[in-house]
Amino acid sequence: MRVSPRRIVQAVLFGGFLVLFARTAYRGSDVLLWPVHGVFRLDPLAWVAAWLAGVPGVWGLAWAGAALLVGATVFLGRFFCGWMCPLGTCLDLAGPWIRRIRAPGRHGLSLSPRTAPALLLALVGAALAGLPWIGLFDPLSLFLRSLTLAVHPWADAGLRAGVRWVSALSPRAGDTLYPWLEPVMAFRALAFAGAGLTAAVFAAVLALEAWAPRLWCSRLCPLGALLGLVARLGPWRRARARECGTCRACAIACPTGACAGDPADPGLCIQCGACSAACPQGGRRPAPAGRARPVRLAGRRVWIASALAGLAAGFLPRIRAEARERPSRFLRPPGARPEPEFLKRCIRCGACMRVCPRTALHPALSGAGLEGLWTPRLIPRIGYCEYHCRLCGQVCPTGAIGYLLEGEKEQWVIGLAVIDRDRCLPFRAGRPCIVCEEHCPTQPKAIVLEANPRPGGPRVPRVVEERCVGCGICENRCPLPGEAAVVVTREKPQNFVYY
Amino acid sequence: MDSFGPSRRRFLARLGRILLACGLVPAWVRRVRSALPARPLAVAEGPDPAGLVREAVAKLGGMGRFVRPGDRVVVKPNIGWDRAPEEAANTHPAVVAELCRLARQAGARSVRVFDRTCNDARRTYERSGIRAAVEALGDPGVRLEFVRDTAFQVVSLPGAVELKRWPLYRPALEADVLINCPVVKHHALAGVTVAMKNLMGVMGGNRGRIHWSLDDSLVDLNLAVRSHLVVVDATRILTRNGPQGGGTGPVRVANRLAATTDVVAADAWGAREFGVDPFSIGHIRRAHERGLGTADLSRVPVL
Repeated sequence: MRVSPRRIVQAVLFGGFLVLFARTAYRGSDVLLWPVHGVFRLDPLAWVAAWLAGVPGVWGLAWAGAALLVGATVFLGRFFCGWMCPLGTCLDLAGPWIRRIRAPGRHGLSLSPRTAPALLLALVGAALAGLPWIGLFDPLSLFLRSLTLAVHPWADAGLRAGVRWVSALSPRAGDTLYPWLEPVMAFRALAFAGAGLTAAVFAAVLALEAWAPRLWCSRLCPLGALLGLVARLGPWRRARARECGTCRACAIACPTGACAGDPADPGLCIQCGACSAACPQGGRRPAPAGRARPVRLAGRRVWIASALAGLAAGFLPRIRAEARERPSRFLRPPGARPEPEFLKRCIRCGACMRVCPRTALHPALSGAGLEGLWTPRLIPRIGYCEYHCRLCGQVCPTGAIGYLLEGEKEQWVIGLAVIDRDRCLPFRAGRPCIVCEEHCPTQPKAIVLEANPRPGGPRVPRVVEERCVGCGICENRCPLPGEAAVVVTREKPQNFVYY
Repeated sequence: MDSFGPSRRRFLARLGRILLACGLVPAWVRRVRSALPARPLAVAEGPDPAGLVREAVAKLGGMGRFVRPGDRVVVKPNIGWDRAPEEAANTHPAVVAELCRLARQAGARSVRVFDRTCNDARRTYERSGIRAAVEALGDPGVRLEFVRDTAFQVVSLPGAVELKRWPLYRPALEADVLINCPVVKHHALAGVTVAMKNLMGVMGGNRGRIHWSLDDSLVDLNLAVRSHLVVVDATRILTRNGPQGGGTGPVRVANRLAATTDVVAADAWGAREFGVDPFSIGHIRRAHERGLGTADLSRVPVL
């Protein structure tokens, strides 16, 4: 069996992506080398999002990879989609299996090739109006987010269950098995808020394969649309050989429908080479664009309408009351920019959630409104913020979470812990408990023990507001069932910055 | 080297504990026990932690008295906090490494080092310096390992007053020899914590709850999980902001270390080094009263 060069490149790059993903974790060093967010430096759509958000340095060397990709796309077409994109590779892998469920051939769901550029324009319009959703649709972001929040935890849960079953049958066999699986397993069992919804979105993108191969890539993906627009500028097209008859083998083989005309539509062609492989005469080679523009990018009205629709949608959050009343316990990661800037910059890739050693960061599905969907929030009851850890700021591709230095991180105030005297045991029941004080990491401690207001009772905790950094280890470790008796609120006592 | 079932000595010890749990052994056992001479406590002083370990263990008769060839040894230091060695929140790495080395020298088949930590274990193993120190031994028989959530086992604790059933870490229960090597630290509730509280590191579950009745729970735990050798690291003492300190401000360099087989005497010695009367510390007093060991240092022969 002959493996095409494209498959080899896809496999290598997909494996590389997984290696970077695995490296995006604490491995004994407070500074990460080669974390996964580097892939966004190749992503022109992430660049557009950063540019719209006013991220400084978008013209700098840091984003040279995206410029390089755009430059290469002019000459090579959408090779990124066919050869590099991990989501594309994933769809290529899963597609044939998914299509087995249905009868072979093309099916009803036909989307116009204009959908993807229209979506791209709508997203840009929405971002301009204040609904920064580009990252939600960016394929790299979508893939990394789904991998982090759903696929990886799911696979890991399976491995863990396997070890548990084996251990239950024979503890010794479990002990033997464990060292083999330890390098692949997550350090602790992973669980994320909104894992189900994230998985459902990912499953929906995969399910599109049932209708046509690469339906997402050719008809919806905004990055694909952007690269397609760039590819149109180039001098080369895939064209039929001169002696070509009426066989249409290439058009049938083409997964994206780019080969319907001649030359192929560079806005849709992902350079997969299916046409050349199918051609009985070995035609459909890249050739100079001699003739008129292949498929006219028609529909000025469509583009205007979609941009305006996006703009209008972008104003929607402003009339939703949820934006005015955010929960008091909605916390952002340490180093997060002020909220309006944070929302603009965050591209919802989930890298921060991936790297957090305590799985303290979770996607916000409520609490931050429509404009904050899938942005990271810190939920201390699930996982607290490690006092000396500063990894989330290192992996943020757009600097929504700033890079904190050693010493800066320990000073950063995430919020303020407050004690609920109606639930706290020493206050309520006269039972001694000091777990929050014991775990408080600041020196001197931000939670101190004081004499009980009721004589004879055990000492009671009090939060010294100017020392509290809101790391949430107190809330995390409070031994009460359910909600903790000490919770971190959004208040920042030192500078009274609210967001 | 595997034999089937426990050795005779261990069987008798287990039987004795079961009888104690059933209440079949009346209080006179405790009276007889308190009349017997207490177990000795070896103290060493000096600036080199590894040398102190060697000296103190040698005074007790050498590691060969505790570890026999083929034994599975567990060294249980305090690696609870994301703090550097000089911050005195964790056991000194040189103490841990030296104990591992001595145990292997005495013929231990394997030495496992672990702690169920308070901060992230990956961070505490690293910053405490214990990973570097153990790996520097270069001995494949010594393994510093993370606690696995799949290896906790709910057990009934014999003779328990408060902590009747709890998930405990199976490798600690199965070990032939458990070497408990705590560090002397301030603690807001207990006053000072040494070896008895260090054993919380083998507890699973929501162990914060034991603070609701800390004194008896700690005695229950130590009655069920015996420390065959206790090495108290008082090379640095955390005097306030315990149990995790922060910076070297709250640290007093004491350059002392003690070794004993009596966990209560170890705690009492640590409390005295810390600067408090052992009987003023709740869990030490309760341990003495319940016959876990002796806190009366005047009766302990100091080597």
